[in-house]
Amino acid sequence: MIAGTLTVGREQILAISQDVFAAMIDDGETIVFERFGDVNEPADPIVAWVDMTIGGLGIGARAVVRTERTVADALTRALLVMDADEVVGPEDLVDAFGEIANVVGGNVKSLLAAHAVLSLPTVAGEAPTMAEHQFLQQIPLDWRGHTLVVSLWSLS
Amino acid sequence: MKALVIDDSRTMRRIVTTVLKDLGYETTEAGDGQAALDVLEAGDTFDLACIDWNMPVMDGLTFVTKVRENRDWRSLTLMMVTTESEHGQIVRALAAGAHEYLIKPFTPDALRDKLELLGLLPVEETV
Amino acid sequence: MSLTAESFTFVADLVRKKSAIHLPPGKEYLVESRLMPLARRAGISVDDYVRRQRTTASLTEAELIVEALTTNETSWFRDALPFLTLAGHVLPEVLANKPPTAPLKIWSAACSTGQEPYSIAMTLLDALAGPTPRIEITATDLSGEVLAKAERGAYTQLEVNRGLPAKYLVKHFTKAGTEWQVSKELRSLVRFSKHNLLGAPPVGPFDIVFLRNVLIYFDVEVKRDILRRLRTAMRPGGFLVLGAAETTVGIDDAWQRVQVGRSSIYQNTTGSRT
Repeated sequence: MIAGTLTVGREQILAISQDVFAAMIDDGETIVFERFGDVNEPADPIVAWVDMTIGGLGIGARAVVRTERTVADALTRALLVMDADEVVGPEDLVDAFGEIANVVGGNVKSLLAAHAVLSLPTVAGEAPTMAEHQFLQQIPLDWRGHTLVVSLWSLS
Repeated sequence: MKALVIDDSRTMRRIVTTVLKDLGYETTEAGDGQAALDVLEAGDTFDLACIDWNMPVMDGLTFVTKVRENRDWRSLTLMMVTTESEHGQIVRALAAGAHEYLIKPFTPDALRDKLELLGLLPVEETV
Repeated sequence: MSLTAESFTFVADLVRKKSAIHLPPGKEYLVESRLMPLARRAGISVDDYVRRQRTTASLTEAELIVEALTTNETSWFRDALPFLTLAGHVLPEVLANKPPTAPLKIWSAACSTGQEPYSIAMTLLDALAGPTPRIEITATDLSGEVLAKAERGAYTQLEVNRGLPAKYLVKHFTKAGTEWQVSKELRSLVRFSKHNLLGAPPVGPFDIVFLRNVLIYFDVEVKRDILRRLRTAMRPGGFLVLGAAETTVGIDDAWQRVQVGRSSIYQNTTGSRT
């Protein structure tokens, strides 16, 4: 890892997440905050991530957003302006939840000291294998009483 | 007024088209730069294109470059709507010929403000 | 924590009557988050705060509630048109009528978090070519809190997205973490100070004054008082830029309305001499 390339702070990830939720989901209001206390692993998780690759050096970072599937469903309904009881199809879920990871990740990328290229988002029912990644930061968020966790990993 | 909304995410296309339709636009959607070029090459004309940067097949920057190479499309206003938010990336897009740049995430008001700057608010919307 | 249906309906009715803004069911969280600072100040929950207002029907609190729910973040180049008028009409006329060595003095009154004075500064730098007069922009507001932010000149991404042309963003701002910082050059053109529009005006005389979307909040007597005070700080022939829904006509006849395209500006026919 190039020293200083990945100095992204928790407060910065929080600020980005707050902007993303306020603008895209909550009518301009900031109602996402850091969640304190124990954070349980989601029983039925949905995970979305994007990779940021720095100029062919095989190094970079990965931003990951994970939550309960029911929460991802609620976010999808909010983004696609669906009714509260409308069933969320897998394609809508992948597209909408992936776009949240994409916008969060794209903004995190702008904080890296070196120019990086952003991948398209990937959405899955479990976290990606990250044997070669090093954990950097994570911040649990509270959105309307639900929990989401945004984490940042480096790849060197 | 007619807008071409280019983004690989249906969710983002939905967000952009909802704001544009509320302002009185007719919209057409494309999932990547090549699909958008196909729409233009078929002869359809637009006042505005809202263009994501990172897309499969053809990215938004390439699309902007190609549109600016074709004199027939000179009246089309090009606005990047993207999560790319480094200073240098914005400079690159403007140099390639984009007229405006809206960073994701954005509020509906922010999109409206940009259209006002570009003189592209449908008449009944300008006060 | 949560707002009852009765409380929500009460607030929605109040806002609709006073501002014609409609808050449909589902916007409870909006009411909660916007009223939280008012409730916290009163030391009670949002729902208790609304209940109290239903009982007391305080006019002051009613205004605060409506304002909290209808205020939105400030745009750069708000309404776009006044800045085109500034560059295309006001500036050439002002410069033609003053000695080239005299500074160009502009007052941005009720400047809030600084978007207006910085937008004026960017417009001037763009419009002035060749040997230019010294630019002095005085930006004032009643609130020390918003002035501190304006003076710092750091804005979030959501804030720079509001109406700031991309060419100006790359020219006058650098990214600092998640924020965008206004350049030193731009900041050096603007001096911020605390000021009450009903007090003595700042030191002029000003060539151009921006006072937008402020008069609408006052009755006609206060409007007249503010407009008279303004004149004493302006050059004869100086220009006043008001909000689109505001006018001097029928309030203070010492101003002459000048129609420029689709917008109106107001020229001072009296004022201080230098």
